[in-house]
Amino acid sequence: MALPGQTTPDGVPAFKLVLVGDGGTGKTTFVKRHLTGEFEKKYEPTIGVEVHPLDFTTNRGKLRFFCWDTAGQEKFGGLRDGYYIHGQCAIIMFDVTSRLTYKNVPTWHRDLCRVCENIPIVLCGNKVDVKNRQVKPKQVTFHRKKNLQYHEISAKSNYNYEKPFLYLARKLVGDPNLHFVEQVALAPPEVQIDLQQQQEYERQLTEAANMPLPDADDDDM
Amino acid sequence: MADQLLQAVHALYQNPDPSVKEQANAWLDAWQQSPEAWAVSDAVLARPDAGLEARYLCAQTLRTKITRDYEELPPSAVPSLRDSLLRMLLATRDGHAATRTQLCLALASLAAHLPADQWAPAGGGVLAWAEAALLSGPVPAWPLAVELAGMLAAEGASFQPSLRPARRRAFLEELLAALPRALGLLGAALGRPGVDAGATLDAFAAWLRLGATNGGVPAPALASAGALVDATLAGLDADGEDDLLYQAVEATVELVEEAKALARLFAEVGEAYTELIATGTPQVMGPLEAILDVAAHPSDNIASMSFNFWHRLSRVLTSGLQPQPIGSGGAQEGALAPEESRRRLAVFAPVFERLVGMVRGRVRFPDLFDSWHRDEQADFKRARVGVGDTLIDAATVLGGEAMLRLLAEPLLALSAEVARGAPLDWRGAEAALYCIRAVHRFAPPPGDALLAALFAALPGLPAPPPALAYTVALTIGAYADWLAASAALPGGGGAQVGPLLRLLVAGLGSPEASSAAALSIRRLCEGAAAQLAPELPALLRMFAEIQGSGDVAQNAYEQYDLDEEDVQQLIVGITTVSNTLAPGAQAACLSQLLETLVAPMQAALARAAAATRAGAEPGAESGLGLVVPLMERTTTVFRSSSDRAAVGQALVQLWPTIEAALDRFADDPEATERILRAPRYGLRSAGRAGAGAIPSLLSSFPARFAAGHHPAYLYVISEAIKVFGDEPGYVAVMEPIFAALVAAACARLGSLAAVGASPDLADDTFLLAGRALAYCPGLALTPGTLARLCDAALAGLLVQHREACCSVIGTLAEPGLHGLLRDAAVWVCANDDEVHKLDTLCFGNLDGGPGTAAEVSSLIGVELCPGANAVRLGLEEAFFLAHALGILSALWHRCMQARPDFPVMYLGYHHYRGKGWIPRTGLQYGADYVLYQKHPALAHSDYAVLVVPQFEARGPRLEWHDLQTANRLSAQVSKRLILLFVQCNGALETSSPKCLARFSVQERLMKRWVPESHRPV
Repeated sequence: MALPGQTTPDGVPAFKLVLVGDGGTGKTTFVKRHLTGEFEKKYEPTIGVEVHPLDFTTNRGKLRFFCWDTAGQEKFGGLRDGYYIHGQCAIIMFDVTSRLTYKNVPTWHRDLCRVCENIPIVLCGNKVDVKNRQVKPKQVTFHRKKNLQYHEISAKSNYNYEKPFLYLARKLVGDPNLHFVEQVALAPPEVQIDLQQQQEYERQLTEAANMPLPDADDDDM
Repeated sequence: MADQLLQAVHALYQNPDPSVKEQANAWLDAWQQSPEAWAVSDAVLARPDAGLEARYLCAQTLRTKITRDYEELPPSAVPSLRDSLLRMLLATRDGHAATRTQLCLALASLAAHLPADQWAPAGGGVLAWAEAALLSGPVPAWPLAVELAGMLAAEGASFQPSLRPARRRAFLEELLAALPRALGLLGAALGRPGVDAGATLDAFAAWLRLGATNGGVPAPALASAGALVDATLAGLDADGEDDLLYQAVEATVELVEEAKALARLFAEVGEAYTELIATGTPQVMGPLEAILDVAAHPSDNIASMSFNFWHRLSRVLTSGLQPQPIGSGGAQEGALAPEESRRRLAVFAPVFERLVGMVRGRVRFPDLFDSWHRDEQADFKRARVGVGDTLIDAATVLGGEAMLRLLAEPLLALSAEVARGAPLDWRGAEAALYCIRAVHRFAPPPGDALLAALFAALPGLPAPPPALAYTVALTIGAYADWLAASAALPGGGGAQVGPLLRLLVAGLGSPEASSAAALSIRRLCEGAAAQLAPELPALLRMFAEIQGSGDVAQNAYEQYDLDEEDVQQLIVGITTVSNTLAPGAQAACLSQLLETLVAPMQAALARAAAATRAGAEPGAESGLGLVVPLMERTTTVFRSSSDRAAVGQALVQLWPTIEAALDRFADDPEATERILRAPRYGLRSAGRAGAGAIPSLLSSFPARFAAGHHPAYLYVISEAIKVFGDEPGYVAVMEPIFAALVAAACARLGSLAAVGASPDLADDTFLLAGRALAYCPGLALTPGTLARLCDAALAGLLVQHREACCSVIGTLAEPGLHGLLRDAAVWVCANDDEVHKLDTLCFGNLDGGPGTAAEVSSLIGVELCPGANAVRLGLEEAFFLAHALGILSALWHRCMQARPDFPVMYLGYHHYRGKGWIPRTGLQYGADYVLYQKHPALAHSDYAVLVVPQFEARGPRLEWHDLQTANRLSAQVSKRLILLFVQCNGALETSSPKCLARFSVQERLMKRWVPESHRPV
């Protein structure tokens, strides 16, 4: 297993990616869409941690994320922030159909930053394929306060799957023009996302990015 | 165990084999939950050979166990744990940051469990302990102290489930007591070697937030944080060269973000402490300066963050009410003494003066504004509005005159420059006028010399650019009332409205400024109508010239390009000025105005008629498109004129044109509606002086309605009824017309779908019926008319509409319902249709089947209609129906016999039924009635009613415990309790229904008084 800044035996650069967020937000499903991992439909809470190697091919060669998929539910807690050490990048996941999971994002972020300083972090709003979302694009402001990247994704429909990895890869490699050269091999989508609706959401998101931040910390949620 | 641990840690983090990793994870998880973990962690942390990962995991384990498993620890072990944590913390002071953080967290968690006196017996709690432990050595560990202090504040704000509530409260109290100490510590830490200013500010913010959410930070504590305030201010100077805050920040973008965050922090702190700051003590001046600096920041975004604070401060200063903190000894609380208010205003006046000085320049248009992107321009304009609001806040504190002096300063400087021969800086002048306009509600008393001079100077501006002309126009409009009041002073008060009006008229020629000019002309005309009478000839010329613009397509007068709305504003203004003339002159002026409008209409209609006679379709060249807009302008003249006789006469003269226009546009409902506004508002303005138009109206409109069913005809006729309804001799004319209109309208309202499809028709039909009932008492509502109205109402509306309700009762009267009074209820036989109507209007219950119906009908000796059911009506319901029908038999006496308190109870029923409520028996809820807003099938009742006679006719009086019971009970069933007091004015005699008129009722809504929810906020 690679240490920070190390490479795999094949000479592929590898990075430790910590995946956190409330239970049930779809962290494990998200990881397992990548066909180098396995695939599960049923919800089984992650116990402690599961580590998956996720490989991507870029215009600068291969790279590997060791994705530490941690338990979101307190009762299956395991070592919790014990897993974060040596984390080089992170994804914080919440569920756009559940406000509470978004409310807890600041806590996950704080705990993460206490262990891993100044690592690139992507905030992901998962399940955007679900029709009645509870967290609207304009309510997602946390990433702007903390200078994180935000992506709306749908693990089920593969929507935006590679976006978080691409952002992290660019930051880690230090090349803003890096891109993936092979289509990431994914499990076939289970649902088709309403692209038009999603484009509307993306538009709202851009619009929201130009709005002043709400005064209080998401008290309106 | 320790060696096993080291192996497991290594396996988890380093072993490439997932199954080994999994095993290691499971082992570590179990180990962390075991009681041995305390000692093992402690031991491993002390071992020099333990790797970084193991040390981190052990630190994390201790923290986790203190939070989660504190109860496992014997009390005697706690001091040694604390000493051990401290030792390890000091050992890692230059080591691995994450391990150090975990140790700090562990100590903070321990502080939550361990009472303050066990940290520092001499007082000061965990902070005093930390100061002694960390800062007393030869090399004080300031960074550790800062980190621990930040964690403590965060711990106070978090909710550890393992902490018992009593201890949580006590911990919070301890932290609040330590707040001054914490701010002092952080202030002292700033600038020490190794101390990260960002972390210190974060900790500062965490403590402030803790204080703010728990009752506030005492002023001395805030003052002692002066060093932190200074540091934050240093962060606001975004040059970033010698700035300790930005050492870690690489990009300029982030610099701006950082400045934003700091500005927000200060604005928020300011908002949280507005009341405290409002005391105006010397200690609060530091933070106040900081917020002033935010307001002075060159970025609009950042400066505007402070605006909310200034708004709150001005509110607190000027409301005169001091918010009362809960739990403070209330004796001296309450409104501030006047001298204290004055002192505070005096303290803050210079602050607000500086604020005005800082923000007034922000509204100035940038030089390259025209080249900006549209979005940027919109942003700038929004920012201007924000500045305007803040100026209003400042004006509430400083008062109008002082504010005007401040805002006019730049103008005076500009005019001095112009006097020296410099060109006019129009952007500066525009900005100053914009500000002055923003505070127009705080205008100084009429005749103020400075303001008068300012307005006197405006007409002298040499050919202002459009943006300036626009603001000039709006400023004049905003101060129209002040100008009028000043001009009305003896000697004119130095204000000349004439030149300003001419200035505005000139502004109409500029496309950018024309709307503002039109609006301001109207305001000035309305405010200073009398003073503007000499300008009337010029206004009338302008009136003629503007007629070619707006919606009137033929732009005969090229000099004006106005929107229709602007034209309307101008017409209102001019007509308003004409209202101040002597009656004869006023009528002449009005006819001149109308002549300008009517002649082109007549010409267009005549051309179109000629074309039609010749067999051709009238084209655009006939000018037909002008007719409707011109008719609307005529309407506007009618609406604005105060000369009833002249309007009445004009309406008669206009009538043939109206008829011709209606003929021409018979197929265009929208045009018809717009044309019909002329007779409608003409009648309204003319009142009885419009009598001359009525014969034409009555001979034409009913037929037109019958032909096209345009509801606007009903509206105009209802307007006529409103004015002339009570004139003798009118009723006979009106009766058949009314019946025919209702018949025609109701024929189109036969089903719910039909009502839904033409809501205007339904609305205007019932408006007409309602006005007929209200204003035309002589008009007899024949059963046929009533039946139609009520059928229409029933078809579309399951609502309580008083007129509809009355009408329905009328229909029920037609076949004649006969009832049997038995016990305390009235049974009636009703066929399906009647049952449906009764149920729709919510009378009675269908309690008896056909059997009861047969029994009832045989008892009262009427023939039983097929399919009849028996409906049980309450006494009040039955009497209401009967009473409304006007066929009072012996029912009253029978009801009295059945229940001696019937009159009083009926009064309550009648009262609420008449108000549109549906009263039903309240027996189930221990009340006399419950009130429904809608049919009981659709909604729960909102109120329970107890009828309380104010005279001794109804047994015992209401006792307190009855009230208590009733109130409790109605609260239980989500109703509110109403006490309906019934007074008898005059002799208490109830032998006939006439006595009902002698009673009056008074409602009282009962509520529980809960002190917490009635505290003034």
